[in-house]
Amino acid sequence: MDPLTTAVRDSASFKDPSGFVFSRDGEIFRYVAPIYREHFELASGSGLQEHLIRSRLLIEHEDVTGIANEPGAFKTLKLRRLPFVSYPYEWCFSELKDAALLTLQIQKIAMEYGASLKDCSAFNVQFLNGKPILIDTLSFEKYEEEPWVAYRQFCEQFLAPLALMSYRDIRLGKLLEANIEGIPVDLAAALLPARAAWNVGLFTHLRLHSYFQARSGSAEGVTRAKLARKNLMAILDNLESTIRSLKYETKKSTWSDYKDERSYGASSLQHKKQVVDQLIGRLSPRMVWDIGANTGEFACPIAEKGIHTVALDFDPVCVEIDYVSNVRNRAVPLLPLCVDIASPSPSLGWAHRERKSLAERGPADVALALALIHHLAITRNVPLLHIAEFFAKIADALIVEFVPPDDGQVKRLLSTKKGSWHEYGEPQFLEAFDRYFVLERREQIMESGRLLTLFRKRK
Amino acid sequence: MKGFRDCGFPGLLALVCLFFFAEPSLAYLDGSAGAYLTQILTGGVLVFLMAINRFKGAIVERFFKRRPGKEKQE
Repeated sequence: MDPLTTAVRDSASFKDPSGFVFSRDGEIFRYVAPIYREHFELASGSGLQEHLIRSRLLIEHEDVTGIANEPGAFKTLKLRRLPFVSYPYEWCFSELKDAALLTLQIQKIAMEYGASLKDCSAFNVQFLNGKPILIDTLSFEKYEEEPWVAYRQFCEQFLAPLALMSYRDIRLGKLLEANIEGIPVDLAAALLPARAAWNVGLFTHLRLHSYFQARSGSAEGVTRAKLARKNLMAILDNLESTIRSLKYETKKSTWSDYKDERSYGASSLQHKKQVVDQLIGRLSPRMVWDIGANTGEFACPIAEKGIHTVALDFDPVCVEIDYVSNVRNRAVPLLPLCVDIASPSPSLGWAHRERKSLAERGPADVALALALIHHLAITRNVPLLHIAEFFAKIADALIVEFVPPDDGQVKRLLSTKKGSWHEYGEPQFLEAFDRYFVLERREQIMESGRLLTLFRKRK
Repeated sequence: MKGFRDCGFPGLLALVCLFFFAEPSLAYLDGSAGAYLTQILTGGVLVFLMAINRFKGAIVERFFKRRPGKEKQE
């Protein structure tokens, strides 16, 4: 029975009997069950938690057991609220790689304190101010000299997708959306090209692993097996060097060179940046979503002001460039994610509630849709009214750049478009958005027919 | 030890050999044990390679390098 009476349990937090996350009066807490007492005391008493929190590897928590304990809890922890929860199937290659390396680093540190990660879910890692961080305080258990219980999960949730993205195609990261428990090692082994066999780490942790998994019979003998500490450390070192050896050499995609191929001049771009900057200053948002962010040219300056910014783009190459050039090794609150706004991340997992849809993780205070609407309306055939309706669900205010039908980019789209599409023009655009938003400002971009508009959602 | 790549091909060979030697006695395993078995084998091989790596200099010196005394005799 759920011991909570006044709190709302997080719909994703049900798998681990050691505890769960809940919210109460707008704040986030973690219930620690009495059965987890021994392991919790090991992690906190040994100094492991303090080490990880001080190193910014584990999310901070405050023990509120004495003042606000939940009935039946061994401990109640108040957690830092994350500005945005993202999922591994939305991350680019380097985000997943950094999350994998963080997990291995934490496991090694935990072993120094006599503890071990009992699970390696990639969903336990989130990005905070540009850095990956473990959010599950209850992931640790007492270390015994035996095989690492989370090894298979690590291979399926981190190594397999990274290997496929590196050796096959960066778009295969989206396989994690269909396999939220991780890509089965046999599937990964089957999809990898033959040359991947020369990577001994991949050969061992995916191919050999897959072969052994396919054997049948009783597991009794092996589950009792011992694995010496130095052997496990060698495996962790090997996993780390294997992960580090996986590279994604940035290749050109349709949109990765957009900055150099835009149809308007430098003065127009400068004017556009000024207007966007003014509008953001006027709105003072805490959370901005830049939809169709490309390589983060507009999202990055917003994040540099300290505003939490999520940069969404459907092109994983653009997201990769954005993360590597704007976020990695910098403490900016920018989170580039691979999301196709015409098919945004759905609700997934148990009862459709385990992983939330993009809309459920909103609304943003402000959404930017710069030179995006014509792609949705013309290329993806989404009626303008539908676009306005969805944007009203995900943002309280909108900054939209409308590209007129006589713009070179729209002409290019129309020239290759066959069949029919919905009527597209400025009157139709304003009429559709007027249904859900109030137009607060419109400004034509200098030396261009493009229009920048600020909308606020109708009450 | 940074991993197998330090030992390259010999590492792969050692792993394959160990796999073939061990394989008949491991036929009773099921899928859930595959991860444990991989760790047991890989861990063993890696530690073995680490030991070789550690004594590599001495082995090369002992068996493959000419000793100064020999050169004088020649």
